[in-house]
This record gives sequence, C-alpha cells and structure tokens, in this order.
Amino acid sequence: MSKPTNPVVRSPYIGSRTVVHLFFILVCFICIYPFLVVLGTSLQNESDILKSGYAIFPKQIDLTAYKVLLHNPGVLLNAYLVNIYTTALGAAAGLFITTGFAFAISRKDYAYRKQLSLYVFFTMLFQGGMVPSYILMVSWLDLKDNVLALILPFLITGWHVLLMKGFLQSLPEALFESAKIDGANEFIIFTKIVLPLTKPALATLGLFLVLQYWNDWWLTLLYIENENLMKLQYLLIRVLRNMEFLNSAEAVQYGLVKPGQQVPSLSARMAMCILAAGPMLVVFPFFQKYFVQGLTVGSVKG
Amino acid sequence: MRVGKLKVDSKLGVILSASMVALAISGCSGKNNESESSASGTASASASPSASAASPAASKAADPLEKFVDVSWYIRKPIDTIKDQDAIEAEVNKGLKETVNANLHIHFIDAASWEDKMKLMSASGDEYDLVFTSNWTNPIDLNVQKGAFLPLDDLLKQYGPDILAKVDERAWKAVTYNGKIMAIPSQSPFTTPGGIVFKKDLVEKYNFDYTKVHKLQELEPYLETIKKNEPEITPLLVTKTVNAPGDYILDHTNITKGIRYDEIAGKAVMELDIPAFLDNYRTMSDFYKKGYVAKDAAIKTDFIAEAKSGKYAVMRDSGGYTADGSKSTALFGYPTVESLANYPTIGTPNMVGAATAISVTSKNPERAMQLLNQVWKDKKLSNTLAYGLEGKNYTVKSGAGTDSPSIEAKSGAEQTWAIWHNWLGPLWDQWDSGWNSTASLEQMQKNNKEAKTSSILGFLFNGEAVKTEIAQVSAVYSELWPIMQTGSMPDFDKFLADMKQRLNEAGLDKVLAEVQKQIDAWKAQNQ
Repeated sequence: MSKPTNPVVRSPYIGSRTVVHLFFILVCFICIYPFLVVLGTSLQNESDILKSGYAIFPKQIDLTAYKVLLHNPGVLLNAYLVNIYTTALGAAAGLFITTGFAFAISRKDYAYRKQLSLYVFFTMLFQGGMVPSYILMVSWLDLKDNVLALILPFLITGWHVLLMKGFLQSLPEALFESAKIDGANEFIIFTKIVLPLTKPALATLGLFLVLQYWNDWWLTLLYIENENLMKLQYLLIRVLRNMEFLNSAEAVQYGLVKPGQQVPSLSARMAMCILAAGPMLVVFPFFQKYFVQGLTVGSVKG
Repeated sequence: MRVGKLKVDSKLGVILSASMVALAISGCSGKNNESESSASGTASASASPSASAASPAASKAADPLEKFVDVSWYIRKPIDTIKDQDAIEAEVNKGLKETVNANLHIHFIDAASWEDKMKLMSASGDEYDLVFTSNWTNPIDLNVQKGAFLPLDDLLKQYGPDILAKVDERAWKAVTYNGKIMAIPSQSPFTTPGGIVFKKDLVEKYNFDYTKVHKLQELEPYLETIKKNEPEITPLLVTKTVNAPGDYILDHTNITKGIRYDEIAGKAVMELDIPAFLDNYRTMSDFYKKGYVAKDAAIKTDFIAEAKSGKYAVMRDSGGYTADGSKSTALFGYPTVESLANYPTIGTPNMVGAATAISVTSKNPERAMQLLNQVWKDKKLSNTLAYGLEGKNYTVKSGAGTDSPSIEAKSGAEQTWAIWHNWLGPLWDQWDSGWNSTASLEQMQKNNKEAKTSSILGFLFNGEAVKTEIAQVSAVYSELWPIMQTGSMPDFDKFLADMKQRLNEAGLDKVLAEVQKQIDAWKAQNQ
C-alpha cells in the first residue's frame, strides 16, 4: 500500500527484547562455560591444577599435556580417519538400505508388506541380547578386528525404517504409476523419483546415522583389538578408565603403579577431550543448519 | 558401563536385522566354528597348520607334543604404549617351539574393554587358552560360577611340576572351588604393610622421630607441632576414599561390608562392635575437632591428587617392601619417609591378586598347561615376556649371561613393553631392576612367610541369600562412612549410635547371622 512516512520507528518491544537477549546470552554462557573450563584446564600446568583446581584462565600457559598426547599423533590421527570413513560409509550405506527397505514395505502393491513390517517391528520389541549378537558377529561372520564390525550393526534400525516408511507413505501412489507407464522400472522409480522427493527425511535420518556412527565406541570395545581400527571416542574412554584404574586401591596394592609408568594426567585428560571434540565443534555448526532445516521441513510435510 | 549397556540394548534389534540383511546379502549360511579364536591382524603366528580334527578338549593324545599348536593368552593391557610385540613373541616362540612345540600369542586387551570382552568371549564360547584372572578384574568367582574355567587338578599333576613346586602351598586354598583348583595363583606379595608416610622436609625441620610411630594415636604430638607452626600445611591427609594412616585393627579379616571375622574369638563380628576400631575413629573425630584434618575431607575424592599436591604432612600409602620411603616418593613426586606398621592377616582375596586360568573353550588345555609350566620353569623366558628384549626394552647393568643379571628397564615415555611378573606368575624369578630390587623381592617373600593366614582361608562368603540387606547396608555405609572415616562429625557417640541403628534397620544383623552360618558350615566341611 503506502510506505510508512516517519523514518525511525522505535520498536515498542525494545525493553522486552533486551531481556530476551540477556536471557539467551546467559543460556549461551551456561552452555559454553564447561567447555571453557575444559579448554583452560588443558592448558594448565599439572601442579597448578593440584594446588588450585580447574580454571578457565590458567596461571601460565603450559602445553605439556598436548605435547604428551601429540608425542604419538599417529594413533589419534588414525582414530580420526577411522571415525571419518566409518561415519561416511555407514551413514551413506545405512541411508540407502533403510530407505530401500522402507520404500518396499510402504508400497501397497507389495505382497510381503505385512510380514516384513512385522519382522521389523518384532526386532524393536524383542531383542536377542548382547551375547547372541556377539556370537553372530564373531563366530558366524568372523568380523573380529574387521572394519565391517564397526559399520554393519547400525546399518538398519527398526525405528529408522518405520520413520522412513511413515514419510514415504505420504508420497502419492499415482506418481509411481505414471513413471511405470513411461517405462521406468522399480529401481529407477526409487532413485530418480523417490530419493529426490524425500530429501528432508533423508537429511533427518542422515543426521541420526552420522551422530550414531561418530559417537559410537561400544562396537570398538566389543570387536576391535587392533589399535589401527580404534575409534576416537574409544581412545578417550581408554584414557579415562586407565586413570581410574591407576588411581584405584588395587593398582597401588598390587604394586602395579610403578615409578616411571606414565599415568595420564588431569590436564592430559582435558587436552584429549579438546583434541577429540574440537574439530567436530568447529565443523558441526556449519552443517547443522541443513539438518535442522531437514527436520523442520520433514515435520511440516508430515 | 551403564551407558554402554543401554546403548547396546537399543541397538540389538539393529544388529539382528542388520545381520539378517547381511546374511541375505552375502548368502552366507553361517560358517562352521572352525576359525581361529581370533583374526588379530597383529598376530605373528600364521594359521595353525594342524588339521582341524575336532577333538574334544579332554582327549588325551598319545604323544601330546606331536602336533604344533597355537596357544592364546589373554591379558589385560598393562601399559598403553605397548609395542614390539611381534619381535618379543618371535624371540619367545623360538624357544617354545623346542620345548613345548607351541606358538604363543598374547592378546592384550585394553583395560577399558577387558572385562566386557572376556565376559562375552566366555558367554559366546569363543576359543581361548590362557587368561589372566584375579579377585579384582575378570573376577575368578564370576568366571567359576559361569563355568568359564577348566578345573586344573589333573593337568597340574601331569604337566605342571614346576608350577606346583613354586606356588605358595597356602594359595591353592584361595583358588579352590568345590574341591577343584580353578586357577594358578601367582607369586605375589600377599600382605603389604600399611605405610605411615611423612613429608621428608617437615620431619627434618621439626626433628621428629617418625620410626617410632606405628599407630594413628601416636601421631598426635607431631600433628600438633605442624598445626601450630605451618599454616600452609594440613597436618593429616584423609579423604572420602582413603582412610587415615595407622588406623589398623589386628586379627580381623574382612568378610563383607560391615562384617569382619575375629581370628582370636573365631567368629564373625560387626565392625562397629570392635573396640580397637572404635578407638581409632574416636581419635579421628578428636583430630578433626583440633583441626588436624581438612574441613572438607569427607568430600575430597581424589586421594592421589591430594597427596601429590604436597600440602599435607602425614599421609597413607600401602607401604613399600622396604621402609625407605622410595615407593611413596615415586608415587607422590616429592621426598618422603615412612614407617611401616601392621602386616595384616592374609585373607582369601589377598592370595588372588593375580592368577592364570585355562578356558573351558581351550582346544589344547594340556599344551596350555605345559606352556605355562615352561614360563614358571624358565627364568629367561618369564623375564623376556615381562621385560621385553635386551637393547630394545632393557639394558643389562651387570651379570650379563648369568641367569639372574641386573638390568635397567626403559621407563616413562620410552617404555614400550611391560608385563608385571606376577601377571605371568613367577614373581620371585624376576631379575633385579628398577621395578623390584632383589632385596625387595626377598623382603616380600619373607613377609609372606611370616604373615599369619586367616584361619578361614579359602572361605568365600556368598551373599545371595541376603542380597537386599547387603545392598541396604552398602547404601548406609556409602552415605555415612566418609564422615566416620574423616572424623568430621560434631558428636562421635551420637553419630555412632545413629549409624548402628541405621545399619540394624538395613539388616546388618541378618547378614551377620548368614555369614556365621556359612562359616560354621565351611568349618564343618574343612576340618
């Protein structure tokens, strides 16, 4: 219509907006604070920690902890690589398999739809337990110390399938009909029509899978003995548990803590934390906005 | 751990369905379980050339050394920086081929995954031969309950003469379950004296004769001096997790939380009814009131960190084997001196600080036993396994070429190999080094010989019948004990009465009755 005439309009909400901003600054600070402590402590010198506790601002910057950890950077870099390729492979393959399976059981003209849906649902309700899964992985599939052991178990999850199925059911059947008439086979329909249409759902599921693969350490714990196949999070846990053990009464009682044995120190623990989480913290915010979009679009679509 | 379990539970559906898919994809119909127990990429051993004649484990071959076999030994990883494994195993296996015609490969499992992995391997029937067990990690009781270990009596008689000759006679009782020996107890210091550790510079400054101190109560004059003259120093270190030095109770053996066995009266008693015990904590309460103990002692958890801070005059450590303070000096990082006191009675758990068992899934238990016997027999072999290779992991200081040289093992950042001798078994065969001097080994043996063993050695309390009560008692203890131990209560007698009442409500009397019942039954069986 007509443009407003007065150039400066004081927003009537300036007061309340300030309050909101302050509130969120506070929330931000609460979130960031622990991280700053970890960062500060990792730069502290060991005796300072023992004397005055953790601090955000170290009395003197001391890089010993990082030196100790990066003294042998191979292990850490290797763990990073393992994390990256298991995540990439696992998430990509998992997405494809999950979506494919979900697409099949979402189609009304598929004969075994009911049985397969039940089969998926059944695994969500009743689970074999840890031991059978271990037997399967180690004795039957012989995957001990094999990179596949870090990938296979998460490839397809009951609830992911049902999530995807729910989304795919909202696609009009007529679409597939017309594609068929144009001479497309099932596989082309799936790749050329279904996948592009389900991008939001794929982004959502992708996020789940990426997080699952990236943060997993349990599979390493169960199936991996070879240091070259260990994941980052597992290395962290290893450091922590060793600390626990070396501080335990048993270790002292049986004379296991010997002079000259390297006991990972407090600052080294924190430094490990920074080294393991740091890059993800930098990378993640840039990617996150896409994921969040996917999530919201997905929910609106539903 | 809980996290892990939860994590995995929610993933099981996945694993199942994924594996169905994987199976479908690969058209794999489930391999026969003939594969090696591990496909460890680091193995120096090639696959065993033996034909997979699926012989049952218990079969006695006519000539047991005829066929060359692989023996696996699972050990909790002692240090993170372990390397050089291939070279050391190659060296060791040269000799083992000659003596027992077997090839040893040690699987080092990270401390982080060790317990879970061993549980799973046993539950899923994975093949493995030798395994480290103890009362504190990969616990022998649980393994025996699950039937994971092989009874060793016959194997020991037949193939373990050197083991039988070297193991402390008394220790067999501690690893015997239902009349069967289930593991081979290592040579270990079964009893370590408590050490009352003093910061050296302060002792010298005030010219205090620390060697006379053997009890908590005798510390008082020194603590008073420190309190008066050293404002920066807290006189006595005690934390939520570690009690004060010198609070010993003689002639009582721990059974379960709150219950001890009175060796003199020959019956089980409640901790809080032992006069000496109450004296100690009354003293602690007094010390606390006088300000000898940190105000927040009951909430301090990291004992080692506190000790390292150097802000305390008197601390505790499980004493060294010689009273020169060297052990605490190394542990705390500043000069200390110590007075050793109280060699406790050896109870069942002390005997199983380290032991080796053979798995029921082992294909060649006889050979595993022969190999282990070789380790006990051959000094050079056990020391090579423990220290590594000369020049690479240790250097000889003197006595090269003899069977007991004096060596210097690489340590700190340079250390790439270490297995403690008592994790392998024969600790007394250890070569003199920075780990243990010959003198300290002799001291340990002397201590072992002189120490009294509990009259109920071999008795293990089974808390199944009073599980709830034990849990409730533990809960009361974890709430009230830190206060008791640090003496930080306003009124000792009131607190004591209160604690007793709480424990009775929790059912400690029921636990006591059950313990006594089991001890009586055990005595009737064993005497």
